[in-house]
Amino acid sequence: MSLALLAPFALALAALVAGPLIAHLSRQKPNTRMAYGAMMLLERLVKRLRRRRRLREPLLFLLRALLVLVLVLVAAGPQLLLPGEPPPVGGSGRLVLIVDDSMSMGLSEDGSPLLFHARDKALSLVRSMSPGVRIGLVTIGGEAEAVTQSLTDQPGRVIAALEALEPGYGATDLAGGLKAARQLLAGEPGEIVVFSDEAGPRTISDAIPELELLVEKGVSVIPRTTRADEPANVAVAAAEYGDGLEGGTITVRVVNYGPAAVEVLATVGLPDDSEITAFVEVPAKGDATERFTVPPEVPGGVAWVKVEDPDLPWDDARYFHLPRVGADRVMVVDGDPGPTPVRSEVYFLERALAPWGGTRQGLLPEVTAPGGVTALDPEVHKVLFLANVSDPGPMAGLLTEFVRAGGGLVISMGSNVTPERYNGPLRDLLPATLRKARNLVALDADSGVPLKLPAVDEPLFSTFSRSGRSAFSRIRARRVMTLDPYEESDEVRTLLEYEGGVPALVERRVGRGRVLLLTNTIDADWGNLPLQAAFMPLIQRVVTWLGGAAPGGGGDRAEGFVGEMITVELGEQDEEPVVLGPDGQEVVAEMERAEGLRVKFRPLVPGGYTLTLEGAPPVARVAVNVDPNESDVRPYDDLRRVEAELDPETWLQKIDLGRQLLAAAVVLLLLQALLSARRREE
Amino acid sequence: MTVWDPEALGRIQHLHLVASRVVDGLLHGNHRSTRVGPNVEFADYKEYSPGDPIRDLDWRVLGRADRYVVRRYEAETDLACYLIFDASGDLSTGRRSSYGRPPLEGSKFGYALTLTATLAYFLHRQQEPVGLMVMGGDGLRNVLVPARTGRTHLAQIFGVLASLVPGGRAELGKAIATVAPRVRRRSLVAVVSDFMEEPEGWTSALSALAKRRTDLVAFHVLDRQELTLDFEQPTIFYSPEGGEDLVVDPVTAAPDFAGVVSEFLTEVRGAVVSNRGRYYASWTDRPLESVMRPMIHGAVDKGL
Repeated sequence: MSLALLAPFALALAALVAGPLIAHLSRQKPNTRMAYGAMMLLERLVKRLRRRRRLREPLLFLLRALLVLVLVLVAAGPQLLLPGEPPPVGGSGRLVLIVDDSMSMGLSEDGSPLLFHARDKALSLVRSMSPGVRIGLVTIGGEAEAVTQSLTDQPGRVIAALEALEPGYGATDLAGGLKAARQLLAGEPGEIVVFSDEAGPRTISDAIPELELLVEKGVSVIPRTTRADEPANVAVAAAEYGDGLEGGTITVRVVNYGPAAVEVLATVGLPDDSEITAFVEVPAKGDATERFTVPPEVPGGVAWVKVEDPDLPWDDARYFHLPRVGADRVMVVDGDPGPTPVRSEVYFLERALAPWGGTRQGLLPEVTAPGGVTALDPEVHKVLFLANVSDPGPMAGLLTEFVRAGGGLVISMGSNVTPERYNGPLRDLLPATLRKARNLVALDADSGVPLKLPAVDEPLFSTFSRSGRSAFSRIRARRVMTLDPYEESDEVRTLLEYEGGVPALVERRVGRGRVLLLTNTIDADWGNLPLQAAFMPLIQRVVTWLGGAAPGGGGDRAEGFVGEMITVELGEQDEEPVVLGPDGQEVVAEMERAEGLRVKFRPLVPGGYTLTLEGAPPVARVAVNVDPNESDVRPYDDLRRVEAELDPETWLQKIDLGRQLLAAAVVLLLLQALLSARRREE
Repeated sequence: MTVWDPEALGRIQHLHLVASRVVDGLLHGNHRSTRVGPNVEFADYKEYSPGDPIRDLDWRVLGRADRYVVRRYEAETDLACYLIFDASGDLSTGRRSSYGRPPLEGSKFGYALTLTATLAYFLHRQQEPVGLMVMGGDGLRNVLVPARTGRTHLAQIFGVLASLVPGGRAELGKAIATVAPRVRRRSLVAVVSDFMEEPEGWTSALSALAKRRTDLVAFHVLDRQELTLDFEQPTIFYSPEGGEDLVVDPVTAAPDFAGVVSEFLTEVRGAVVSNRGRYYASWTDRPLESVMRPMIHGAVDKGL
């Protein structure tokens, strides 16, 4: 609001304010003089009146001065500039309706969502338009979308599209909506009517550049705001897994945007379908944090937190990744159990995997005979050790599937291993063809061929410091399984070798998993590896490294919001996964191959999405949530105010104040006359 | 004062006539004195006068000498009564006021003068020693006539009253303080004044008088025109006693002034009553009898 003067020079008349001052100081005296016997009482009266006059006389002066100033203002022709009424809709013949169907428009008001109130306003506007007005419709929930491809002079089409609108989960994209509307207007002047609650901290501010552009084009943006009288909403703003007692802690932050404190029931749903509940007290316009203790063992996946909120149910759940909680299970297939445990092929391996016995944390080895491999579960086991197994043929398919799904396989040699039984069935897994076992020195010799120190830039050995590599210097091999020559590539790499170039440990990538071939035994029959200090950390590291892409909560993790395009990078992947939504139904996704497989999809509802290959555990999990900005249903700015600022010529209302000021002058005149008469009387 | 001043002589005669008419009218058929004292010790006889208790008649003297005499006791003798009369300048104003010696009828001063004379006559008829203290006055100022009995003494009081010209300040507190040592317990002290002085100036003297257990009577002389500001046009008012002039429009100031007057009357009445005195508002437009009657019958003025 501001004031403008048509004749500012008239302000010079303000000097007339001296008039009341002179009048104020002048006074008439009576002529009659009389002796009076009760002067004492008269003096008392005068004192009393003086006290009253002390208040009245400055007021009188003020009134008179004000009167002069008001008259001067009248002469100056004042105009009050107020944010006025928006320009008429449809006057230009081109009209675009922007309807906000974002999540916050699902807020219930008078028993129905705000969107329905906004839709009714839009419908009545369309119906009130005179024939010939060309109308377009844009929705701005999630990503702005022009519902009508161009402006149409058939209002029935727009009405049908409006009636089909339902609130969604998306965030408000006002800027995008204005841009789409501008494109519909094709650079011509027109009116854009915005039906929105204008909620969210950045909704308006993000749209200002587009608004400026529209003002330049001569387009009027006219808001028809639809808001709840008292917006209230409780939402889960964040959920995060972290360290803590037992299996860890899930920290949940609940936000209350309403004007009253609430107590809500919060429920955490874990991937194994178990639930944990707690009541959370959330102060008005504040937030509260609640911690949930996770059980010691929980499979990994997308977990969720839900609160009960009657106002806006769309954002009551938040989805987040929960890693697998509990010990990583490793299957060890013992191909040479021996007469006593100490003589077992995997005696040293078992102890290296679980130095302190089986615990809930760390690694939990499951030692089995070759027949027990059928219990291998890609959802449970991280790595499989195949130790001196004589015939892996029957299990080859299972092993291949396991590795391709992301599992780790370590094959160690021994007296039971024959190239014939390995090279055929395991050709898809072995990094190189086995040739034959060969003595490097006499088997009863005290020493053997030493191992070359590993390269610390190799990820497998990155945990060993430069000095820590010395632990490898005493490893000796007396006998090894020789391999046919192979070419080093991204797929096949030699990780360790003996002096002289004999491979000791060779890696092959298969699908999402890896295979490690140890050309020596995992026990002390062909060398001293298990007797060296490096053995235990090496085995632990091998399991961790191989399990990086293992199932059971592993795989890629991604997050995103409803309505936006989510991209998941899967790296080298032959097979194209299927994207499954929270309801288990397939979601349309795009596959791009550029330095690996890239999967893109646009989720329409929040929840846990999985990218799966047939018969394998999910290769990636995506936690999809609603935009937390949409949960904040409070208005932060006023589109009307912003537009009036950007386009003052169209919006400002000029009110001529001459009459009002003249009326005020008359009132002041009467007031001062009344007060003056009272003064004279006293 | 000149005893042979013909105007003064005329006024004396007038005062005497009025006083005797009023007193005789008031005492007609009244057989009980207003001043009944405890019988302490026989002192002397006095001629019976209406109002004296019949029981005090000495029947023996009546039988022997055929005379009506009343036995008097020590407590009732020498009870000097003082009339304190306000002759200040403020009394010179009011309805029909005039400069110099105001008329005895119609003027505020004349009304007060006649009232005082009537009181003196009444006390004389009661055979009480009467004294007069004049406050203020022009020429004859602050006169004190000691309390005595007898016709000659009454004539002297009448002479003083008739010669008074209003002027100067009353200084009410000082006058009461002058009289106070001369009166005894149960003596009557009558103040005839307009009390146009701030009460702080005289209430302490009144309290001192009350402590002596005197019978205090206050006649508050009031002029209705003055106190209702019954004037028609804006006027410069001034006090005959001096001080600042005040310009007042009586028509518009009257409502506020009524409040001031009411407060003032309440103040004066409160000051008198709280000192065990009897207060009588004496409006100059009311007959003297109506002011005197309640005083003689010992009633207290309950209002204006």
